[in-house]
Amino acid sequence: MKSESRIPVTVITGFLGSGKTTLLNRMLSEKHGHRIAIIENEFGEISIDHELVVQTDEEIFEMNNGCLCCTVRGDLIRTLGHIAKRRDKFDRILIETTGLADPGPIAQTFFMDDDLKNQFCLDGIVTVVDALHLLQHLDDAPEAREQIAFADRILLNKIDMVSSQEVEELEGKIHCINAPATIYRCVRADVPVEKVWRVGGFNLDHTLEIHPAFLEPEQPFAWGGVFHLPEGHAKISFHSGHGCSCNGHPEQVHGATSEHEMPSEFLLAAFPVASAWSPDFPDKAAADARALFSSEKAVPVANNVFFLPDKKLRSLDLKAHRGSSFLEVGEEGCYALFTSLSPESCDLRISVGEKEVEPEESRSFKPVHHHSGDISSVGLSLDGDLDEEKVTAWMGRLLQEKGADIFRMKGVLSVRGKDERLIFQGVHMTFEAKLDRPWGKSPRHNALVFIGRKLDRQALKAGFTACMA
Amino acid sequence: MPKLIWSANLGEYVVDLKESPDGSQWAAAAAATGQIAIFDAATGEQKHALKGHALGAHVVAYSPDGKVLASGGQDGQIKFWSPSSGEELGRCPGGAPWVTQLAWHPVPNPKTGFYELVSIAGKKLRLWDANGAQVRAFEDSVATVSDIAWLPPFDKRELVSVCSGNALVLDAENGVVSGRRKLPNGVLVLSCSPDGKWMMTGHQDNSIHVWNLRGSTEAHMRGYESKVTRLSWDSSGRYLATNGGAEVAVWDCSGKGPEGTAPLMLAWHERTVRDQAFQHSGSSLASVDEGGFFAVWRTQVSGRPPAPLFHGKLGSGGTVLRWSADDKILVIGTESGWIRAIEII
Repeated sequence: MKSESRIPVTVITGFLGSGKTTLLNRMLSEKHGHRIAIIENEFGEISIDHELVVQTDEEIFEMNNGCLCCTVRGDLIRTLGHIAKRRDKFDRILIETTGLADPGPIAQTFFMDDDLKNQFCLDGIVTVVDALHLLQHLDDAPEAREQIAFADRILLNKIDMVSSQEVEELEGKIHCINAPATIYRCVRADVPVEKVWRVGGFNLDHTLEIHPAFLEPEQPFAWGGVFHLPEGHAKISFHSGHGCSCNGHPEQVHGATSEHEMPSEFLLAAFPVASAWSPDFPDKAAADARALFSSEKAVPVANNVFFLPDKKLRSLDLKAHRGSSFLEVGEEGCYALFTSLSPESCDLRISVGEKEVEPEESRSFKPVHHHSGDISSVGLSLDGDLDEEKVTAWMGRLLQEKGADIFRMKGVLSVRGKDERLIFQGVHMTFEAKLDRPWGKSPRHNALVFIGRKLDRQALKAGFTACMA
Repeated sequence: MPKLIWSANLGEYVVDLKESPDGSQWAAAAAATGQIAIFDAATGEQKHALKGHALGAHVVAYSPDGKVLASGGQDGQIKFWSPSSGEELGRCPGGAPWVTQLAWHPVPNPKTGFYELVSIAGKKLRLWDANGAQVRAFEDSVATVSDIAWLPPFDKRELVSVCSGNALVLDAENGVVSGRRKLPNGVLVLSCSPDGKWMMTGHQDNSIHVWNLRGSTEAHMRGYESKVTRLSWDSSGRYLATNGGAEVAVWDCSGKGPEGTAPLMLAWHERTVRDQAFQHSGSSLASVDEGGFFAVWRTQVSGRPPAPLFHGKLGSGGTVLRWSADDKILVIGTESGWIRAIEII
């Protein structure tokens, strides 16, 4: 595979009015010095005349191989075939789809056609989302969910039209569908072009940099921190999300769409740990917290006073307590505090007197999502080497059986006997595997991500684990 | 032995190459520059550089009497040129951004005495006379038309157009659809046998389909290494050569057709074959691959596996290959824009 010489292709999807054309025009008007060819499926007002712009009619067909999900885009095969004949090569191809386009056939085209495979590489799928209408689209339009599921990068556009709390909520919804995608919040599609392209195919490394928690198992809590607290009185304050003016947003902006669906209950567990620098945090502490969160029924905090040391799962009624609870610390020391909401989402603070106490250490965890739809993502992580034959056989079988439901798959694998990283990427039943750079000094490791419908995390994990050498 | 008799440079990927009917000149079309060049057939001297098509050319076609050269490209135009003076005689809109294919009917329209040309651009099919006047616009195809061919033996003025999922027989006299076949998806190329018995289509899924035009039977052949993009008949209409990988498969279409038979496999190339062609009256076949290697084969061998009679190498990948009318010269276009005329003795 001559990956270095192939022309990168960026696909821009998004509903009508989400800001695709604005993004495209922005990409074309910046002085990046790249020669770009644009393939458009609908008439867009592209404000450029020196680049090649080709309009094509979306033409989807099945590959006659008995597999219903093996669909490709004939118009792209034809058009890119002609573009490939030019000796004055383009640096990049941008494909702007129609609002209702299914990204599946577009992505598969780059795996299924031999000529295209050798000359172009799918650099990334960028989905532009209109923050004001996302919720409505997610409810009404399966295409919107699929466009999000297929994306490598998501531009959450028009965030000036909603409150910051709603932006958080929208990001949460997007993450439920596609956890590994990188989300950029923006207004008028204003993001630096290098954020949109140079995705580098399915750049799993990048995904992991941005969401280190992605490959972890889901936890019953969202956040944990270690606080050093003196004996005596302290205060936990938080915002319930009701009737507040969220982070300085004027009331009238989100007044119309208020009633955020914040949980009325806030769960927390606090217990002593040896010291802030103890190796107990996060692993052992998280395990202890998981035990508390999973096995115990939450005990309401009585009289709004929370005693430490405690070692119980507690619930705070956010409505009743109106913003704060009291902490009675029986003994000076370090306490681990695990919470069901992230401190940012409820503006959690601990203070002693007038002074706010910062956590000595803290980290976010991947909370259990209550998926509202059937599209989700599963990330798997394994140390050690895989057996190439086993993993190829497993992957082949998996894609054959579940390919229709697996929208995208990406992986960086460590295969026994190979010095280089094995990079896997697939769309439905099609996939390509290639050797990447050598592992060198970085620890050998396997990471695999699936985005799709009805994914069975346990079964995927069991199958993957069975591929160990 | 093959002998290079001339070279010419177009400066861009050679997308199409045609010999004039009198054998005096060749016309070539360039990809990105869209230039159309006319070369002397004996010396390779460039006689005319026509401005061609902004953004890129796709196709050139001499009228059967050699009086007009038509070309089509990415400016959505069909242009008519004088092959002798290089003058532009006229231009017409194909109806969509890219004019991808042109085909002259070999016989003049008996009513008008003019030769007629059909053009395809996206879903649009239009018929023109040699003066560039529109004879008719056919009804839009349901999808982008992949290829088109006039139906032999040309007594009726019928043509076949293929698009994904559909083949239509159109009557050029009155513009109506006179036949319809369901096609498998992803059709790339179409060719009808010179005797009018068979219609062949090459598909995206590495298969070819064979249609008996006189009956209703249809068969398909799979097992190609890659997609079949060139279908080449020998002069008798019995043999069909196909690319679709590093080997050329030659099917015997006599009798009940090629279904269930094993093709003659011409194996020598190491890279994907881009084009192949039988001689106009002889039985030799030439092939060129994407690595720039070309080979000449004698196809009627039996017993031992076929091997090339001659072979050679060009400076860059071959794109299109044609025999001169006297079958003595092989003219090959390349990715880097060279056109090489090679005498095969």
